Amino acid sequence: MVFLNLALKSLKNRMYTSLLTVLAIALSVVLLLAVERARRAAEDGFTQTISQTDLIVGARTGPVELILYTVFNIGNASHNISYTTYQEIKKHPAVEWTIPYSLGDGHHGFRVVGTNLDFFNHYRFRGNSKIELAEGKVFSGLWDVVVGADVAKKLKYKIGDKIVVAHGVTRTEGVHKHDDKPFTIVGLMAATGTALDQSLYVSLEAIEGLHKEPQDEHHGEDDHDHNHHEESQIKIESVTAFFLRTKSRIETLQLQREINTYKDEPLLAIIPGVTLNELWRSLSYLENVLKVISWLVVGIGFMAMLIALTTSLNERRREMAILRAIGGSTQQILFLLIFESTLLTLSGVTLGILVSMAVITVMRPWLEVEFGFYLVGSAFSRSEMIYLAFILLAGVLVGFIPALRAQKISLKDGLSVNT
Amino acid sequence: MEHLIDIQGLKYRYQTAQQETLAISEFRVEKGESIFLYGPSGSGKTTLLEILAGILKPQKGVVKILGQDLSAKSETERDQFRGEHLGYIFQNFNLIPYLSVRENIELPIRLSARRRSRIDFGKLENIISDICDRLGILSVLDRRVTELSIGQQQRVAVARALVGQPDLILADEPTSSLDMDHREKFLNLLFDLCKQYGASLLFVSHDRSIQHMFSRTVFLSDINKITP
Repeated sequence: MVFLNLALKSLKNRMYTSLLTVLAIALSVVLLLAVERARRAAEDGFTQTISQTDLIVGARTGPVELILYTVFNIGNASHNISYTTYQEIKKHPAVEWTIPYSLGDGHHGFRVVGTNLDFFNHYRFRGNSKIELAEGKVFSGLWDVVVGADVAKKLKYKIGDKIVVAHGVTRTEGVHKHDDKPFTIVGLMAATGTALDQSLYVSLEAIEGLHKEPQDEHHGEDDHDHNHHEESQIKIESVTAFFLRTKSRIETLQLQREINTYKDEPLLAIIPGVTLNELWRSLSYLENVLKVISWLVVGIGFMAMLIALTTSLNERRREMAILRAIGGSTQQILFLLIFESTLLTLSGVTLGILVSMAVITVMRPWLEVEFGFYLVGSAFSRSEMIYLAFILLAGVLVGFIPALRAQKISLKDGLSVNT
Repeated sequence: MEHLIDIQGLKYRYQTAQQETLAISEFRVEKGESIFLYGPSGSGKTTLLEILAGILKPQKGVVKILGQDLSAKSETERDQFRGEHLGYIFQNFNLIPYLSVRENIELPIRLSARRRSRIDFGKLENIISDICDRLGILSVLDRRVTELSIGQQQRVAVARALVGQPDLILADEPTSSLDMDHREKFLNLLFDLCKQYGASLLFVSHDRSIQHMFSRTVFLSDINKITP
């Protein structure tokens, strides 16, 4: 009790430096927690970009390439799969659903993807989240387009806008534009925080149709006539890839083998979770850099505490001498100083936890909307708990340095510090 | 008979010093005495007090207080002994600035379990009130010490030294900042209280104008025989 009282009042007496010390520790805790949280969110966000899809099937290529151009909109497919093959695999008894995925066209640097309504029905990410429309409806006609959240935001699109798509995904003017085939925006997707936000979605027929020469009944961009007979004329010849869900997980491996050894054309089926994990592990150096940085910050926090405690020691030589003279033992003084540094660390860590929780609560919606950065999972993971325990322990240990010095000082000075 | 203080063949030299600061072959104080120990500045008065308080340990000799040899005790034992038996009054009173008057006075009791066992802890409140009443600082008990006048701070320092009824009060020039009038009043009060609480007094000073008030005067130069 006497120590709590002494330590608290002594710290209060040195309010300014005490506060700065607590703040330094709190800040380093906030940073450590933030980095750890961001790391976990990045990993989860990455590996959960696509979920419930058991296999991704494309023309034979590398697994990483396949996942990059389907899930992350990076790169291009060198070959397509014939529509017949797709239909055949779709009919396989083990298949529960499929989502066809055709790439190729671009719009102001964003990608235009051809798919069908299964995409809106079956596609899942981050566990069980499905694609929601913020506004409008899914495409139904040949010239209907649904745009991802980032696309709509960046290009300031709204329902009813007419847009034109071009080949490729570059932004240069030289690229051949399909100026004669204007699309109408019928739906705006809600933000998903994945690469889905950066694409425009049209029907498979539209993608196929874009590559055909204009027919006579089309008269440039003023033609709003979305007649349906035209749709039936277009015969889909190929898709770039497709997502697939099996009826039971046990069948996944069997089906993967069957697809990989498909006789009519060379195909590749990958399990997205496996490939995503591999990809993430290849990025682990980034994770380590983040970790090193946050531990450096924690180290600096303790340096600040060490400096604050050691400099205050000089002012407190007299205090130490008095305590000894009136019956305090050197052990009691040692204990008092360690108690103080423990108190500082504890307050710093507590403040740090509170601040980071507050920051996360306040910033969460903003991070999700602006950056698609989802802070999933529990607030404090096991590793965070271990870090915090380690910080507390280190704080107590750091307290030993000035405490042992104080003991020396109080012996050397005796009672003669008179100023 | 057991002496209150019994020094035999004491030698003390600071680690960095060329020669000894103290070399006392014999010095005794009996219970109930009030000793005026005179010495000019820098003559080693404070060093002697610190040895008696068990904060410094002499290189040679025997320092017995109440029959216990301090020089044979470990540091922890000396800390305990000091806490139990001694009261110390500093030149500058040295109160802890961020504690209240009451907290300053209670501190020796709270720091030392042995000091605590010398009193009826349940009556600590009354004990402090009694002392402070005598010293005329009862009304400022819950103030911060920094709000007090010099005279009041001095009396708080006395109360702190006396609480828990120590056997010996060591005083290091506590009157040097008082004028003559206040000095005598203060000393009379100190003598009264020492008598009341059964404490002996060893008072060091370079101010000989007050030596007549003590039961015995000792010149440090008479007992300290440093051989250069």
